[in-house]
Amino acid sequence: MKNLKFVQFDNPEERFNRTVSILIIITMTFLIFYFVSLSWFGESDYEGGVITVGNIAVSVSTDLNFSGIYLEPNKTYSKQTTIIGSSAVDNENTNDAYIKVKLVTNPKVNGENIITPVYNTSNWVYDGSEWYYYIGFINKTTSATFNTALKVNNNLTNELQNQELDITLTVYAIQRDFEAHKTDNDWKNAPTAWKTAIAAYDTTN
Amino acid sequence: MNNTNVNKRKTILTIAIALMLLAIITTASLAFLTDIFETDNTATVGSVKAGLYNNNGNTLISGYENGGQYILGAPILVTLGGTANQPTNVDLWVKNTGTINGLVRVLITITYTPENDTNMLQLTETVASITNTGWVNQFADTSTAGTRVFYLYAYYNSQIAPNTAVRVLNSITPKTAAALSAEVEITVRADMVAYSGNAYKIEAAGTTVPSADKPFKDFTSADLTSAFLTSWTAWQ
Repeated sequence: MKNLKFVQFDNPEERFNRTVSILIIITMTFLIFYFVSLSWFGESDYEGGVITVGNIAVSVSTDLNFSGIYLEPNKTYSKQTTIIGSSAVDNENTNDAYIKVKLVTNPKVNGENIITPVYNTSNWVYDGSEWYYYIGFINKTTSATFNTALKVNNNLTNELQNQELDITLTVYAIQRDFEAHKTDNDWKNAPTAWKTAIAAYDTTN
Repeated sequence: MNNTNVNKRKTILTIAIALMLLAIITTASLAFLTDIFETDNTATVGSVKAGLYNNNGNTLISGYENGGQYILGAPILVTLGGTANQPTNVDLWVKNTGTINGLVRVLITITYTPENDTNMLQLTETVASITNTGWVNQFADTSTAGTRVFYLYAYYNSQIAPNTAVRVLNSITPKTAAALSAEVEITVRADMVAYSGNAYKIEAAGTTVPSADKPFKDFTSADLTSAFLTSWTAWQ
């Protein structure tokens, strides 16, 4: 059996080259590992990587059409919003995602939106200011229903009569994996009630 | 060490540092998998607006608006008939000129100048009667019905759809000689609020609603009480 023999680098130049080589190898290894295996490092619309390892995209079906309708105070209009995962990449399944939704009108009345969603409070947690957090997750086959109706604020004033208002619906999805919501800046301040409610869905890998 | 080796080491070091920086920047700037969807649309807030009309609801009578009210600029003049118990028609209408259903009430004051007299008096139920079909009347005068003066709020007991007019007064009928051929002056103010919403902020049995939150300002302290709301039900 042949004896193994460790190479000795007594020459300073060789020692330097060895150190730098190790650094390069470590860096390259990290980058390869990053692009290939750790999907949660990547942003959904990132297309610069050689390999696509996952994606989050939402498909939203919503009815915000009030054409030909004049809003009446305190009146409820049947309008629904449904959210489902929709892969941004052909033949790729979308990752499971947590979602939050906000509905904003401009102008407002007394600091409140003129239109607010009617939703199942068992499925959504309102943060008290703008976002509604879904208790659960969506993917390409699992959807979430947000509002089943839209209700007009009861405190409309004469100043608002005949005024046109803008309605904006925003859906924000984040990967379910790796408990991303706990560290992402836009999610980490989510209501505790929601964090508790979705703890069972959290995955750490 | 010669210069060639030094340059070689510098080059290798530069490449290594660049790779390290690339790794740091990449991992620092790319966050989690996320997606944001946003969509916009517009809507128009509805309106209610009252106007007082004649000519079967087709001609706006001169007046002015004041905070959702329409007030006649001058009284309407009507000369009553010379025969007792013969009604004299009054061509006075209120119209919803807004875009959503409304509830309306009118404040009516009727005075008259008896024939062969120069003094203007308040018309009373003793000398005349009024007909206003579809309205529920609330008199400011709390004396016995039949002797009250015509100073009242009349609440229309149905919603009024946009661009729809309803008659405020059908007729005035003289009952005694004092009102025969008398010239009557009618002043009217119309208030309209949206049927939906604020209209529900009224006193139901067992509740008290601040005046500021009521659809109409109080006429008397007993306005829009649960008792009255058993008669005027258009708000329901």
